[in-house]
Amino acid sequence: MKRILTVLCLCLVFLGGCGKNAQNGTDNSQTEKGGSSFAFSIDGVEIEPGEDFAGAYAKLGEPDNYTEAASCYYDGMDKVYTYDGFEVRTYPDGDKDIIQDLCLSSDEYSTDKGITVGSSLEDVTSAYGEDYSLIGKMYKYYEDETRYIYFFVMDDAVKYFGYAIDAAN
Amino acid sequence: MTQKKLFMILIMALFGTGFLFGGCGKENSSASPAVNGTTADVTEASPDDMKTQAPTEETVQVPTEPATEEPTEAPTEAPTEEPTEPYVGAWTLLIQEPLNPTQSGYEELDTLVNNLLASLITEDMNNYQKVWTVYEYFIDNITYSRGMDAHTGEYSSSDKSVTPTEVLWATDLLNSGQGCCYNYSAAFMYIMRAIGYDAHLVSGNVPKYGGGVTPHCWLYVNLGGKQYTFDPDLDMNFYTRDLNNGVENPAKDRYFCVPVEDLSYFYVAETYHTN
Repeated sequence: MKRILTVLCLCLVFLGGCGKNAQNGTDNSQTEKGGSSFAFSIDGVEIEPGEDFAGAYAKLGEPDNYTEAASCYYDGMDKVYTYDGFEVRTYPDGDKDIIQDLCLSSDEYSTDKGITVGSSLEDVTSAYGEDYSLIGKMYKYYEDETRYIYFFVMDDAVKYFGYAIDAAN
Repeated sequence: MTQKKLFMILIMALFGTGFLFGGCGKENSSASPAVNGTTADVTEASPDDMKTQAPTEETVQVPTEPATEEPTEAPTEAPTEEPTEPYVGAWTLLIQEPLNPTQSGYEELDTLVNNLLASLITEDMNNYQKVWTVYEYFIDNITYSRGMDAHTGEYSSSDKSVTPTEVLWATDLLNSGQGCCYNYSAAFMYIMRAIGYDAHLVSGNVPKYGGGVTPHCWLYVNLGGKQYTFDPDLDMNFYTRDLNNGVENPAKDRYFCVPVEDLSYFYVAETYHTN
């Protein structure tokens, strides 16, 4: 009986550990969701473009800075929530604020392929390949028709990177 | 045939002729104003008239109603070849305007503008086609992001302390491929100047969805001694909405080269930018 209980306990500890790793990965990283790796986890809070920001906002708390302006495109207010090292930009959809863009500006955060602020363009293309769309200094790698990971590269160093959707166009 | 019968036929003929002429007159008066760039008829139409007119297939419309509602009619595509009447307005205006290319004097912006023009413009294009190619590029390729307004100059390597805001708006968009109305219009203005047109930035208010007004930025260009509105941000807006609503061949040119006075019911200018 003791052996059985010991085995069961070990299994529970093992499964618990696996669950934690799968859910959080590292504290600040890209995470898997629904078979696609597009949500980004910051201190255990998942932020996914295209989703309502309300849940993440409740966990992240008050931003360091907040701005809003009447949308040029949507019926309502576009909002910008600025936290230390990252920023969430939303657009209105009814009574929801949908995440359009999670923009990261600190080397405390990195993509699941290790790209962070300060990485070179060669680092980016080595990790993500050459199949990007480029406007100016913005390199976009599309996951599908609307979702993309982007790297804004200035003077051969990533200044911003992030996860976004083409919400309007 | 009796005299009585002849008299009845004469009366009926007179009535018929009267209806015929009445109908023609009505059609003529209601069909002319919704014409982009043909100034004579348009200037005589009041905003109320414009709201109620249905565009014909040949016309490239000025907006038929304020953008407080989603468009309900399938608009037309702007032509890439010389159109027949009445679209000749924008085509002729842009081709006939004498060009005087100018640069902003800010190296980063000028490099971005010149590189973009070099990538989009070909030698066989006339001036109308050059302008339209860039305008359409903005609508199809620039990502709308209102958040850019909170980060003016942060997508630029120019010194923010000595660079005009309008230059930073344009530079941010051309560097990042994203922006809001301020970025769209400022960038397009400097591109128009680089091509050779006398373009100017305006900011103020426009009606917003659901009522009220919202801050907005657009530009006008002097053509043939008159001012014409260009608004790539708003055209992106309407085009995308139409596309999402299943409209076939949505228009991208509702606010492309429209006489300023025709849109006075819509745009309320507050600031005429000097840069």
